[in-house]
Amino acid sequence: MSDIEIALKQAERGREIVDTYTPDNKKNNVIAVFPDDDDELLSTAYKYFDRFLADYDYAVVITSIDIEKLSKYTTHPFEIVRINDEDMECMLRYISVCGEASAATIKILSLKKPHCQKAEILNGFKDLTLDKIVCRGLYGIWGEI
Amino acid sequence: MGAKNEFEAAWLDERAEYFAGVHSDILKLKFQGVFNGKNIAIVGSWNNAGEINQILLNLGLKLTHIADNNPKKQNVSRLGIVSQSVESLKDVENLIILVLNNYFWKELQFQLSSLGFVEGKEFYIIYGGDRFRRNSLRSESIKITDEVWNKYKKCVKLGYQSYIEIREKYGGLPIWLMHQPSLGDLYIFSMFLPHAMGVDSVKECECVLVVTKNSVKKLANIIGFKYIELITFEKAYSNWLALMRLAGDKFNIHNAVYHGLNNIFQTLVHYSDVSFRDSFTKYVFQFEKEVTPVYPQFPKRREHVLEQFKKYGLIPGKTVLISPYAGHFIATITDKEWRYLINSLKDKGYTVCTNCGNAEERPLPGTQAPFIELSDCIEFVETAGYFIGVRSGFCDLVCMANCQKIVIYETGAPAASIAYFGFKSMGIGENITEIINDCIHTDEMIDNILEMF
Repeated sequence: MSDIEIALKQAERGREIVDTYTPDNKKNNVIAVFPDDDDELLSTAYKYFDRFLADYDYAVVITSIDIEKLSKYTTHPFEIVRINDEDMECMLRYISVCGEASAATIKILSLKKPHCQKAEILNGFKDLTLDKIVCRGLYGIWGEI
Repeated sequence: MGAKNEFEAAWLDERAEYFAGVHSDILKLKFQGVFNGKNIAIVGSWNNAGEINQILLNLGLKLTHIADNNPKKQNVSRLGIVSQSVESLKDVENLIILVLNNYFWKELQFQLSSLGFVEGKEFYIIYGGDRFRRNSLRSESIKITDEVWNKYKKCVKLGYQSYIEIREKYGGLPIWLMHQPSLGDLYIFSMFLPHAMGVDSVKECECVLVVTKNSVKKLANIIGFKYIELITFEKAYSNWLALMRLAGDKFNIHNAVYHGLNNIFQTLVHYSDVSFRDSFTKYVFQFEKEVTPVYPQFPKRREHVLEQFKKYGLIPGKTVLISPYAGHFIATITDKEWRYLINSLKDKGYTVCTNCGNAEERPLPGTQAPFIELSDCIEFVETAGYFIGVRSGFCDLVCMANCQKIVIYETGAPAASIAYFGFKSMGIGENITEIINDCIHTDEMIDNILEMF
Protein backbone atom coordinates (compact mmCIF):
# COMPACT_ATOMS: atom_id res chain seq x y z
CA MET A 1 0.00 0.00 0.00
CA SER A 2 1.33 3.47 -0.86
CA ASP A 3 1.84 6.23 1.70
CA ILE A 4 -1.26 8.03 0.51
CA GLU A 5 -3.41 4.92 0.71
CA ILE A 6 -2.17 4.26 4.23
CA ALA A 7 -2.87 7.86 5.27
CA LEU A 8 -6.38 7.76 3.79
CA LYS A 9 -7.07 4.46 5.53
CA GLN A 10 -5.88 5.98 8.79
CA ALA A 11 -8.15 8.97 8.25
CA GLU A 12 -11.11 6.67 7.61
CA ARG A 13 -10.38 4.99 10.95
CA GLY A 14 -10.06 8.45 12.51
CA ARG A 15 -13.48 9.38 11.18
CA GLU A 16 -14.99 6.26 12.80
CA ILE A 17 -13.47 7.25 16.14
CA VAL A 18 -14.72 10.84 15.97
CA ASP A 19 -18.20 9.72 14.93
CA THR A 20 -18.29 7.04 17.63
CA TYR A 21 -17.57 9.48 20.43
CA THR A 22 -19.60 12.41 19.13
CA PRO A 23 -22.68 12.53 21.34
CA ASP A 24 -25.83 12.73 19.23
CA ASN A 25 -28.28 13.63 21.92
CA LYS A 26 -26.78 16.88 23.14
CA LYS A 27 -26.56 20.27 21.52
CA ASN A 28 -23.58 22.59 21.40
CA ASN A 29 -20.93 19.94 21.91
CA VAL A 30 -17.22 20.14 21.49
CA ILE A 31 -14.49 17.53 21.24
CA ALA A 32 -11.15 18.30 22.87
CA VAL A 33 -8.25 16.10 21.85
CA PHE A 34 -5.27 15.66 24.17
CA PRO A 35 -2.57 13.78 22.24
CA ASP A 36 0.52 15.29 23.84
CA ASP A 37 2.18 14.57 27.20
CA ASP A 38 4.00 17.92 27.34
CA ASP A 39 3.67 18.82 31.04
CA GLU A 40 3.91 22.58 30.59
CA LEU A 41 1.28 22.56 27.89
CA LEU A 42 -1.00 20.29 29.91
CA SER A 43 -0.86 22.45 33.02
CA THR A 44 -1.77 25.50 30.93
CA ALA A 45 -4.56 23.60 29.20
CA TYR A 46 -5.93 22.48 32.59
CA LYS A 47 -5.87 26.07 33.84
CA TYR A 48 -8.22 27.27 31.08
CA PHE A 49 -10.28 24.11 30.73
CA ASP A 50 -13.18 25.46 32.81
CA ARG A 51 -13.27 28.72 30.84
CA PHE A 52 -13.17 26.76 27.60
CA LEU A 53 -16.09 24.53 28.58
CA ALA A 54 -18.18 27.56 29.58
CA ASP A 55 -18.87 28.16 25.88
CA TYR A 56 -20.35 24.69 25.37
CA ASP A 57 -23.06 22.50 26.82
CA TYR A 58 -21.08 19.31 26.77
CA ALA A 59 -17.60 18.12 25.90
CA VAL A 60 -15.92 14.86 25.06
CA VAL A 61 -12.20 14.70 25.73
CA ILE A 62 -10.40 12.12 23.64
CA THR A 63 -6.89 11.32 24.80
CA SER A 64 -4.06 8.87 24.42
CA ILE A 65 -2.34 10.03 27.62
CA ASP A 66 -3.18 10.06 31.30
CA ILE A 67 -5.26 13.15 32.08
CA GLU A 68 -7.61 11.83 34.73
CA LYS A 69 -6.95 14.86 36.95
CA LEU A 70 -8.58 17.09 34.35
CA SER A 71 -11.89 16.60 36.17
CA LYS A 72 -10.52 18.53 39.16
CA TYR A 73 -10.42 21.70 37.07
CA THR A 74 -14.07 22.08 36.15
CA THR A 75 -17.60 21.40 37.23
CA HIS A 76 -18.90 21.62 33.65
CA PRO A 77 -20.11 18.29 32.23
CA PHE A 78 -17.66 16.32 30.13
CA GLU A 79 -16.42 12.79 29.66
CA ILE A 80 -12.99 11.36 28.95
CA VAL A 81 -12.40 8.69 26.33
CA ARG A 82 -9.06 6.93 26.26
CA ILE A 83 -7.73 5.62 22.95
CA ASN A 84 -4.38 4.09 21.96
CA ASP A 85 -1.55 5.90 20.17
CA GLU A 86 -2.32 4.29 16.84
CA ASP A 87 -5.95 5.40 16.89
CA MET A 88 -4.85 8.87 18.00
CA GLU A 89 -2.66 9.19 14.92
CA CYS A 90 -5.57 8.10 12.74
CA MET A 91 -7.87 10.63 14.36
CA LEU A 92 -5.38 13.47 14.03
CA ARG A 93 -5.02 12.79 10.31
CA TYR A 94 -8.78 12.89 9.89
CA ILE A 95 -9.24 16.10 11.87
CA SER A 96 -6.31 17.71 10.05
CA VAL A 97 -7.50 16.92 6.54
CA CYS A 98 -10.96 18.27 7.32
CA GLY A 99 -9.33 21.57 8.24
CA GLU A 100 -11.79 24.39 8.77
CA ALA A 101 -14.75 22.04 8.63
CA SER A 102 -13.61 20.50 11.91
CA ALA A 103 -11.81 23.44 13.53
CA ALA A 104 -14.90 24.96 15.12
CA THR A 105 -15.95 21.84 16.96
CA ILE A 106 -12.79 19.80 17.49
CA LYS A 107 -9.88 21.34 19.38
CA ILE A 108 -6.47 19.72 19.45
CA LEU A 109 -4.43 20.57 22.55
CA SER A 110 -0.91 20.24 21.19
CA LEU A 111 1.85 22.43 19.85
CA LYS A 112 3.27 19.69 17.62
CA LYS A 113 0.36 17.49 16.56
CA PRO A 114 -0.97 16.95 13.97
CA HIS A 115 2.19 17.00 11.88
CA CYS A 116 1.48 20.44 10.37
CA GLN A 117 0.88 22.21 13.70
CA LYS A 118 4.53 23.35 14.10
CA ALA A 119 3.68 25.74 16.93
CA GLU A 120 6.36 24.81 19.51
CA ILE A 121 8.63 27.54 18.23
CA LEU A 122 6.01 30.22 18.85
CA ASN A 123 6.04 29.65 22.61
CA GLY A 124 7.95 32.58 24.11
CA PHE A 125 8.42 34.40 20.82
CA LYS A 126 7.77 38.15 21.22
CA ASP A 127 4.64 38.46 23.36
CA LEU A 128 3.36 34.96 22.59
CA THR A 129 3.00 33.16 25.91
CA LEU A 130 1.84 29.62 26.33
CA ASP A 131 -1.32 31.01 27.99
CA LYS A 132 -2.08 33.03 24.87
CA ILE A 133 -1.31 30.16 22.50
CA VAL A 134 -3.47 27.71 24.44
CA CYS A 135 -6.43 30.08 24.94
CA ARG A 136 -6.56 31.74 21.54
CA GLY A 137 -4.79 29.33 19.24
CA LEU A 138 -5.81 25.94 20.62
CA TYR A 139 -9.02 26.31 22.61
CA GLY A 140 -10.21 29.18 20.41
CA ILE A 141 -11.61 31.10 23.37
CA TRP A 142 -13.18 34.39 22.36
CA GLY A 143 -13.31 37.50 24.51
CA GLU A 144 -11.65 38.06 27.87
CA ILE A 145 -9.58 35.34 29.48
CA MET B 1 -52.61 35.73 25.26
CA GLY B 2 -53.42 32.30 23.81
CA ALA B 3 -50.92 29.50 23.36
CA LYS B 4 -50.53 30.15 19.62
CA ASN B 5 -49.84 33.84 20.16
CA GLU B 6 -47.37 33.05 22.94
CA PHE B 7 -45.55 30.79 20.54
CA GLU B 8 -45.57 33.46 17.87
CA ALA B 9 -44.34 36.04 20.38
CA ALA B 10 -41.48 33.75 21.35
CA TRP B 11 -40.70 33.17 17.73
CA LEU B 12 -40.74 36.90 17.02
CA ASP B 13 -38.56 37.55 20.08
CA GLU B 14 -36.11 34.97 18.85
CA ARG B 15 -36.03 36.52 15.40
CA ALA B 16 -35.52 39.95 16.93
CA GLU B 17 -32.68 38.56 19.03
CA TYR B 18 -31.19 36.92 15.96
CA PHE B 19 -31.28 40.08 13.86
CA ALA B 20 -29.91 42.15 16.74
CA GLY B 21 -27.06 39.63 16.89
CA VAL B 22 -26.53 39.85 13.13
CA HIS B 23 -26.40 43.64 13.41
CA SER B 24 -23.84 43.37 16.18
CA ASP B 25 -21.69 40.80 14.31
CA ILE B 26 -21.65 42.90 11.12
CA LEU B 27 -20.95 46.07 13.08
CA LYS B 28 -17.83 44.43 14.56
CA LEU B 29 -16.61 43.57 11.06
CA LYS B 30 -17.32 47.11 9.91
CA PHE B 31 -15.17 48.50 12.73
CA GLN B 32 -12.39 46.15 11.65
CA GLY B 33 -12.52 47.76 8.19
CA VAL B 34 -13.53 44.50 6.54
CA PHE B 35 -15.97 46.17 4.15
CA ASN B 36 -13.85 49.15 3.08
CA GLY B 37 -14.23 49.49 -0.68
CA LYS B 38 -15.69 46.00 -1.02
CA ASN B 39 -18.73 44.57 -2.71
CA ILE B 40 -20.90 42.65 -0.27
CA ALA B 41 -22.61 39.34 -1.02
CA ILE B 42 -24.94 37.37 1.20
CA VAL B 43 -25.27 33.62 0.95
CA GLY B 44 -27.80 31.32 2.59
CA SER B 45 -30.27 33.98 3.68
CA TRP B 46 -32.75 34.19 0.87
CA ASN B 47 -35.76 34.39 3.15
CA ASN B 48 -34.17 36.94 5.44
CA ALA B 49 -32.57 38.98 2.66
CA GLY B 50 -34.84 41.98 3.30
CA GLU B 51 -33.93 42.15 6.97
CA ILE B 52 -30.24 41.64 6.27
CA ASN B 53 -30.34 44.32 3.59
CA GLN B 54 -31.95 46.73 6.05
CA ILE B 55 -29.27 45.97 8.65
CA LEU B 56 -26.58 46.68 6.08
CA LEU B 57 -28.26 49.93 5.03
CA ASN B 58 -28.54 51.01 8.66
CA LEU B 59 -24.81 50.44 8.99
CA GLY B 60 -24.11 52.52 5.89
CA LEU B 61 -23.26 49.43 3.83
CA LYS B 62 -24.61 48.40 0.44
CA LEU B 63 -25.61 44.88 -0.46
CA THR B 64 -24.41 44.18 -4.01
CA HIS B 65 -24.81 40.42 -4.55
CA ILE B 66 -27.19 37.70 -3.42
CA ALA B 67 -26.17 34.09 -4.06
CA ASP B 68 -27.94 30.81 -3.50
CA ASN B 69 -27.32 27.15 -4.30
CA ASN B 70 -30.95 26.56 -5.20
CA PRO B 71 -31.24 26.97 -9.02
CA LYS B 72 -34.76 28.33 -8.54
CA LYS B 73 -33.29 31.21 -6.61
CA GLN B 74 -30.72 32.13 -9.25
CA ASN B 75 -31.05 34.77 -11.97
CA VAL B 76 -34.13 36.27 -10.36
CA SER B 77 -34.52 39.74 -8.94
CA ARG B 78 -34.42 39.96 -5.17
CA LEU B 79 -34.42 43.43 -3.62
CA GLY B 80 -33.59 44.73 -7.08
CA ILE B 81 -30.51 42.55 -7.28
CA VAL B 82 -30.29 39.71 -9.80
CA SER B 83 -29.39 36.66 -7.73
CA GLN B 84 -26.66 34.26 -8.77
CA SER B 85 -25.10 30.89 -7.98
CA VAL B 86 -22.56 30.59 -5.18
CA GLU B 87 -19.94 29.34 -7.67
CA SER B 88 -20.32 32.46 -9.80
CA LEU B 89 -19.14 34.62 -6.88
CA LYS B 90 -15.63 33.57 -7.93
CA ASP B 91 -15.92 36.01 -10.81
CA VAL B 92 -16.74 38.99 -8.61
CA GLU B 93 -13.81 41.17 -7.63
CA ASN B 94 -13.27 42.91 -4.27
CA LEU B 95 -15.89 40.81 -2.59
CA ILE B 96 -16.75 40.06 1.02
CA ILE B 97 -19.21 37.20 1.46
CA LEU B 98 -21.43 36.95 4.51
CA VAL B 99 -22.76 33.46 5.23
CA LEU B 100 -26.01 33.78 7.12
CA ASN B 101 -27.44 30.34 7.63
CA ASN B 102 -27.22 28.59 10.96
CA TYR B 103 -28.29 25.23 9.51
CA PHE B 104 -26.08 24.95 6.44
CA TRP B 105 -23.15 27.08 7.54
CA LYS B 106 -20.75 24.15 7.57
CA GLU B 107 -21.66 23.06 4.05
CA LEU B 108 -21.38 26.64 2.82
CA GLN B 109 -18.06 27.02 4.65
CA PHE B 110 -16.74 23.94 2.88
CA GLN B 111 -18.11 25.07 -0.48
CA LEU B 112 -16.61 28.57 -0.24
CA SER B 113 -13.26 27.21 0.95
CA SER B 114 -13.23 24.78 -1.95
CA LEU B 115 -13.87 27.68 -4.29
CA GLY B 116 -10.74 29.34 -2.94
CA PHE B 117 -12.31 31.91 -0.63
CA VAL B 118 -10.46 32.36 2.66
CA GLU B 119 -12.49 32.42 5.84
CA GLY B 120 -11.85 35.46 8.00
CA LYS B 121 -10.57 37.33 4.97
CA GLU B 122 -12.99 36.86 2.09
CA PHE B 123 -15.93 35.26 3.83
CA TYR B 124 -17.39 35.41 7.31
CA ILE B 125 -19.97 33.23 9.00
CA ILE B 126 -22.50 35.42 10.79
CA TYR B 127 -24.24 33.44 13.52
CA GLY B 128 -26.32 36.28 14.98
CA GLY B 129 -24.77 36.45 18.41
CA ASP B 130 -23.39 34.02 20.97
CA ARG B 131 -26.55 32.03 21.66
CA PHE B 132 -27.13 31.26 18.01
CA ARG B 133 -23.45 30.62 17.49
CA ARG B 134 -23.48 28.02 20.23
CA ASN B 135 -26.60 26.40 18.81
CA SER B 136 -25.01 26.27 15.38
CA LEU B 137 -22.06 24.39 16.77
CA ARG B 138 -24.36 21.61 17.85
CA SER B 139 -23.39 17.95 17.82
CA GLU B 140 -24.59 17.27 14.28
CA SER B 141 -22.00 19.69 13.00
CA ILE B 142 -19.11 17.68 14.46
CA LYS B 143 -19.94 14.81 12.20
CA ILE B 144 -18.93 15.48 8.64
CA THR B 145 -21.41 14.13 6.11
CA ASP B 146 -20.46 11.35 3.70
CA GLU B 147 -20.77 13.82 0.84
CA VAL B 148 -18.29 16.25 2.36
CA TRP B 149 -15.91 13.50 3.42
CA ASN B 150 -15.95 12.00 -0.07
CA LYS B 151 -15.09 15.41 -1.49
CA TYR B 152 -12.11 15.68 0.86
CA LYS B 153 -10.87 12.27 -0.22
CA LYS B 154 -11.27 13.22 -3.86
CA CYS B 155 -9.32 16.43 -3.26
CA VAL B 156 -6.52 14.47 -1.58
CA LYS B 157 -6.30 12.02 -4.48
CA LEU B 158 -6.25 14.80 -7.08
CA GLY B 159 -3.63 16.65 -5.04
CA TYR B 160 -1.51 13.51 -4.88
CA GLN B 161 -1.69 12.96 -8.67
CA SER B 162 -0.64 16.56 -9.30
CA TYR B 163 2.15 16.31 -6.72
CA ILE B 164 3.50 13.06 -8.23
CA GLU B 165 3.64 14.64 -11.71
CA ILE B 166 5.75 17.51 -10.45
CA ARG B 167 7.86 15.35 -8.15
CA GLU B 168 8.76 13.03 -11.02
CA LYS B 169 9.46 15.89 -13.40
CA TYR B 170 12.05 17.30 -10.99
CA GLY B 171 13.49 14.08 -9.63
CA GLY B 172 12.24 14.45 -6.09
CA LEU B 173 13.50 17.97 -5.33
CA PRO B 174 11.80 19.63 -2.36
CA ILE B 175 8.64 21.48 -3.37
CA TRP B 176 7.47 24.80 -1.89
CA LEU B 177 3.80 25.55 -2.41
CA MET B 178 3.19 29.29 -2.70
CA HIS B 179 -0.58 29.06 -2.96
CA GLN B 180 -1.10 32.70 -1.97
CA PRO B 181 -1.24 34.57 -5.29
CA SER B 182 0.65 37.56 -3.96
CA LEU B 183 3.84 39.30 -5.08
CA GLY B 184 4.60 40.55 -1.58
CA ASP B 185 4.37 37.09 -0.06
CA LEU B 186 6.73 35.66 -2.66
CA TYR B 187 9.19 38.53 -2.21
CA ILE B 188 9.42 38.22 1.58
CA PHE B 189 9.50 34.40 1.37
CA SER B 190 12.38 34.61 -1.08
CA MET B 191 14.43 36.78 1.28
CA PHE B 192 14.64 33.94 3.78
CA LEU B 193 14.49 30.80 1.63
CA PRO B 194 18.28 30.73 1.03
CA HIS B 195 18.84 30.54 4.82
CA ALA B 196 16.40 27.68 5.09
CA MET B 197 18.14 25.80 2.27
CA GLY B 198 21.65 26.55 3.48
CA VAL B 199 22.73 28.58 0.43
CA ASP B 200 23.51 32.22 -0.29
CA SER B 201 20.91 33.12 -2.89
CA VAL B 202 17.63 32.04 -4.43
CA LYS B 203 19.49 31.05 -7.61
CA GLU B 204 21.29 28.36 -5.62
CA CYS B 205 18.12 26.92 -4.10
CA GLU B 206 17.59 23.45 -5.50
CA CYS B 207 13.84 23.32 -5.11
CA VAL B 208 10.62 23.59 -7.06
CA LEU B 209 8.35 26.55 -6.48
CA VAL B 210 4.67 25.96 -7.19
CA VAL B 211 2.71 29.19 -7.74
CA THR B 212 -0.89 30.03 -8.62
CA LYS B 213 -0.72 33.25 -10.61
CA ASN B 214 1.10 34.33 -13.77
CA SER B 215 2.48 37.53 -12.26
CA VAL B 216 3.86 35.57 -9.30
CA LYS B 217 5.51 33.16 -11.72
CA LYS B 218 7.03 36.11 -13.56
CA LEU B 219 8.39 37.56 -10.32
CA ALA B 220 9.75 34.15 -9.30
CA ASN B 221 11.67 34.05 -12.57
CA ILE B 222 13.10 37.51 -11.97
CA ILE B 223 14.10 36.62 -8.41
CA GLY B 224 16.01 33.63 -9.72
CA PHE B 225 13.99 30.49 -9.03
CA LYS B 226 15.15 27.78 -11.37
CA TYR B 227 12.18 25.46 -11.28
CA ILE B 228 8.73 27.02 -11.25
CA GLU B 229 5.37 25.37 -11.84
CA LEU B 230 2.10 27.24 -12.29
CA ILE B 231 -1.10 25.51 -11.18
CA THR B 232 -4.57 26.94 -10.63
CA PHE B 233 -5.38 28.50 -7.29
CA GLU B 234 -8.28 26.12 -6.89
CA LYS B 235 -6.03 23.10 -7.47
CA ALA B 236 -3.52 24.38 -4.94
CA TYR B 237 -6.05 25.45 -2.35
CA SER B 238 -8.42 22.51 -2.50
CA ASN B 239 -6.25 19.61 -3.58
CA TRP B 240 -2.63 20.26 -2.61
CA LEU B 241 -3.46 21.67 0.79
CA ALA B 242 -5.83 18.79 1.53
CA LEU B 243 -3.01 16.39 0.64
CA MET B 244 -0.58 18.29 2.86
CA ARG B 245 -2.99 18.42 5.78
CA LEU B 246 -3.52 14.70 5.53
CA ALA B 247 -0.01 13.48 4.91
CA GLY B 248 2.41 16.35 4.43
CA ASP B 249 4.82 14.55 6.78
CA LYS B 250 5.21 11.75 4.24
CA PHE B 251 6.12 13.92 1.25
CA ASN B 252 8.75 16.51 0.46
CA ILE B 253 6.31 19.43 0.17
CA HIS B 254 6.38 22.60 2.24
CA ASN B 255 3.84 25.32 2.73
CA ALA B 256 5.37 28.68 1.74
CA VAL B 257 2.93 30.76 3.78
CA TYR B 258 1.57 30.47 7.31
CA HIS B 259 -2.03 29.65 6.40
CA GLY B 260 -3.75 26.82 4.60
CA LEU B 261 -2.78 23.90 6.80
CA ASN B 262 -4.23 25.11 10.09
CA ASN B 263 -5.29 28.38 11.64
CA ILE B 264 -3.06 28.62 14.71
CA PHE B 265 -0.78 31.43 13.51
CA GLN B 266 -3.68 33.33 11.98
CA THR B 267 -5.58 33.15 15.28
CA LEU B 268 -2.63 34.58 17.16
CA VAL B 269 -1.94 37.44 14.74
CA HIS B 270 -4.80 39.48 16.21
CA TYR B 271 -3.61 39.00 19.77
CA SER B 272 0.13 39.60 19.48
CA ASP B 273 2.97 41.70 18.13
CA VAL B 274 3.99 39.22 15.45
CA SER B 275 4.61 40.65 12.00
CA PHE B 276 4.34 39.55 8.39
CA ARG B 277 8.08 38.80 8.46
CA ASP B 278 7.64 36.60 11.54
CA SER B 279 5.04 34.56 9.70
CA PHE B 280 7.87 33.45 7.41
CA THR B 281 10.92 33.40 9.65
CA LYS B 282 9.30 31.87 12.71
CA TYR B 283 6.42 29.85 11.38
CA VAL B 284 7.12 28.86 7.78
CA PHE B 285 10.88 28.39 8.18
CA GLN B 286 10.95 27.73 11.94
CA PHE B 287 14.22 29.67 12.44
CA GLU B 288 15.44 29.51 16.03
CA LYS B 289 17.32 32.81 15.65
CA GLU B 290 16.68 35.82 13.48
CA VAL B 291 18.54 35.89 10.18
CA THR B 292 19.51 38.69 7.85
CA PRO B 293 17.29 38.94 4.79
CA VAL B 294 18.87 38.23 1.42
CA TYR B 295 17.34 40.88 -0.84
CA PRO B 296 16.62 39.61 -4.34
CA GLN B 297 18.53 41.42 -7.08
CA PHE B 298 16.57 42.88 -9.97
CA PRO B 299 18.03 43.44 -13.43
CA LYS B 300 18.95 46.98 -14.48
CA ARG B 301 17.43 48.11 -17.78
CA ARG B 302 18.22 51.80 -17.49
CA GLU B 303 17.93 52.57 -21.22
CA HIS B 304 14.51 50.96 -21.48
CA VAL B 305 13.24 52.86 -18.43
CA LEU B 306 14.63 56.14 -19.73
CA GLU B 307 12.80 55.55 -23.01
CA GLN B 308 9.57 55.18 -21.05
CA PHE B 309 10.25 58.41 -19.17
CA LYS B 310 10.73 60.15 -22.51
CA LYS B 311 7.58 58.62 -23.98
CA TYR B 312 5.42 59.75 -21.05
CA GLY B 313 7.10 63.14 -20.54
CA LEU B 314 8.43 62.25 -17.11
CA ILE B 315 11.46 64.02 -15.65
CA PRO B 316 14.15 61.66 -14.31
CA GLY B 317 14.94 62.53 -10.69
CA LYS B 318 11.85 64.70 -10.39
CA THR B 319 8.99 62.26 -10.90
CA VAL B 320 6.62 60.80 -8.33
CA LEU B 321 5.29 57.30 -8.99
CA ILE B 322 2.04 56.86 -7.07
CA SER B 323 0.85 53.31 -6.42
CA PRO B 324 -2.73 53.66 -5.18
CA TYR B 325 -3.95 50.07 -5.55
CA ALA B 326 -3.60 46.99 -3.36
CA GLY B 327 -4.77 43.44 -3.93
CA HIS B 328 -6.76 43.03 -0.74
CA PHE B 329 -8.26 46.40 0.00
CA ILE B 330 -9.16 49.75 -1.50
CA ALA B 331 -7.57 52.71 0.20
CA THR B 332 -9.97 55.28 1.63
CA ILE B 333 -8.56 58.17 -0.36
CA THR B 334 -10.99 59.88 -2.74
CA ASP B 335 -10.25 61.02 -6.29
CA LYS B 336 -10.55 64.59 -5.02
CA GLU B 337 -7.83 63.94 -2.43
CA TRP B 338 -5.57 62.25 -4.96
CA ARG B 339 -6.16 65.13 -7.37
CA TYR B 340 -5.13 67.63 -4.69
CA LEU B 341 -1.92 65.68 -4.02
CA ILE B 342 -1.11 65.36 -7.72
CA ASN B 343 -1.81 69.01 -8.59
CA SER B 344 0.24 70.20 -5.61
CA LEU B 345 3.16 68.01 -6.66
CA LYS B 346 2.94 69.35 -10.22
CA ASP B 347 2.88 72.92 -8.84
CA LYS B 348 6.13 72.10 -7.08
CA GLY B 349 7.69 71.07 -10.42
CA TYR B 350 7.29 67.31 -10.28
CA THR B 351 5.87 65.05 -12.96
CA VAL B 352 3.50 62.38 -11.61
CA CYS B 353 2.46 58.94 -12.90
CA THR B 354 0.37 56.03 -11.62
CA ASN B 355 1.40 52.42 -11.11
CA CYS B 356 -1.45 50.21 -12.34
CA GLY B 357 -1.21 46.43 -11.99
CA ASN B 358 -3.87 45.60 -14.57
CA ALA B 359 -6.31 47.12 -17.05
CA GLU B 360 -9.03 47.53 -14.41
CA GLU B 361 -6.81 49.76 -12.28
CA ARG B 362 -7.25 53.22 -13.78
CA PRO B 363 -4.61 55.95 -13.72
CA LEU B 364 -5.20 58.61 -11.07
CA PRO B 365 -6.72 61.93 -12.26
CA GLY B 366 -4.29 63.95 -14.35
CA THR B 367 -1.72 61.18 -14.69
CA GLN B 368 -0.77 58.44 -17.11
CA ALA B 369 0.17 54.87 -16.25
CA PRO B 370 3.34 53.67 -17.94
CA PHE B 371 3.51 49.90 -18.20
CA ILE B 372 6.13 48.93 -15.64
CA GLU B 373 7.49 45.42 -16.04
CA LEU B 374 7.97 43.76 -12.66
CA SER B 375 11.64 43.37 -13.46
CA ASP B 376 11.94 47.13 -13.99
CA CYS B 377 10.11 48.31 -10.88
CA ILE B 378 13.24 49.21 -8.89
CA GLU B 379 14.97 50.85 -11.83
CA PHE B 380 11.77 52.80 -12.53
CA VAL B 381 11.34 54.26 -9.03
CA GLU B 382 15.07 54.97 -8.75
CA THR B 383 14.94 56.85 -12.03
CA ALA B 384 11.80 58.69 -10.87
CA GLY B 385 13.34 59.60 -7.53
CA TYR B 386 10.10 59.46 -5.54
CA PHE B 387 7.53 56.80 -4.66
CA ILE B 388 4.23 57.13 -2.80
CA GLY B 389 2.33 53.88 -2.35
CA VAL B 390 -0.66 52.50 -0.53
CA ARG B 391 0.64 49.41 1.32
CA SER B 392 0.68 46.55 -1.15
CA GLY B 393 3.01 43.87 -2.44
CA PHE B 394 4.49 46.43 -4.83
CA CYS B 395 5.84 48.32 -1.81
CA ASP B 396 7.71 45.15 -0.82
CA LEU B 397 9.33 44.97 -4.24
CA VAL B 398 10.68 48.52 -4.08
CA CYS B 399 11.53 48.55 -0.36
CA MET B 400 15.29 48.69 -1.07
CA ALA B 401 15.13 51.12 -3.98
CA ASN B 402 17.43 54.10 -3.66
CA CYS B 403 14.85 56.91 -3.71
CA GLN B 404 12.41 58.68 -1.41
CA LYS B 405 9.69 56.20 -0.46
CA ILE B 406 6.45 56.95 1.35
CA VAL B 407 4.10 54.10 2.28
CA ILE B 408 0.52 54.74 3.40
CA TYR B 409 -1.17 52.40 5.90
CA GLU B 410 -4.80 52.57 6.94
CA THR B 411 -6.47 52.34 10.33
CA GLY B 412 -8.94 49.44 10.56
CA ALA B 413 -7.81 47.76 7.34
CA PRO B 414 -6.15 44.44 8.21
CA ALA B 415 -4.45 44.32 4.80
CA ALA B 416 -2.81 47.69 5.46
CA SER B 417 -1.98 47.33 9.13
CA ILE B 418 1.24 49.08 10.10
CA ALA B 419 1.65 46.79 13.11
CA TYR B 420 1.67 43.66 10.96
CA PHE B 421 2.91 44.87 7.56
CA GLY B 422 4.99 47.85 8.67
CA PHE B 423 8.52 47.87 7.22
CA LYS B 424 10.05 49.24 10.41
CA SER B 425 8.28 46.65 12.54
CA MET B 426 9.49 43.95 10.13
CA GLY B 427 13.05 45.28 9.96
CA ILE B 428 12.89 45.17 6.18
CA GLY B 429 13.70 47.84 3.61
CA GLU B 430 15.61 51.08 3.94
CA ASN B 431 14.67 54.74 4.33
CA ILE B 432 10.93 54.30 4.14
CA THR B 433 8.60 56.95 5.54
CA GLU B 434 5.51 55.24 6.92
CA ILE B 435 2.26 57.16 7.28
CA ILE B 436 -1.12 56.10 8.67
CA ASN B 437 -4.37 57.29 7.13
CA ASP B 438 -7.01 57.30 9.86
CA CYS B 439 -9.63 58.04 7.17
CA ILE B 440 -10.77 61.10 9.13
CA HIS B 441 -7.81 63.44 8.68
CA THR B 442 -6.86 62.38 5.16
CA ASP B 443 -6.45 65.99 3.98
CA GLU B 444 -3.93 66.64 6.74
CA MET B 445 -2.12 63.43 5.90
CA ILE B 446 -1.75 64.59 2.30
CA ASP B 447 -0.46 67.97 3.49
CA ASN B 448 2.10 66.11 5.60
CA ILE B 449 3.21 64.16 2.56
CA LEU B 450 3.51 67.37 0.53
CA GLU B 451 5.79 68.88 3.15
CA MET B 452 8.33 66.19 2.24
CA PHE B 453 8.61 67.57 -1.31
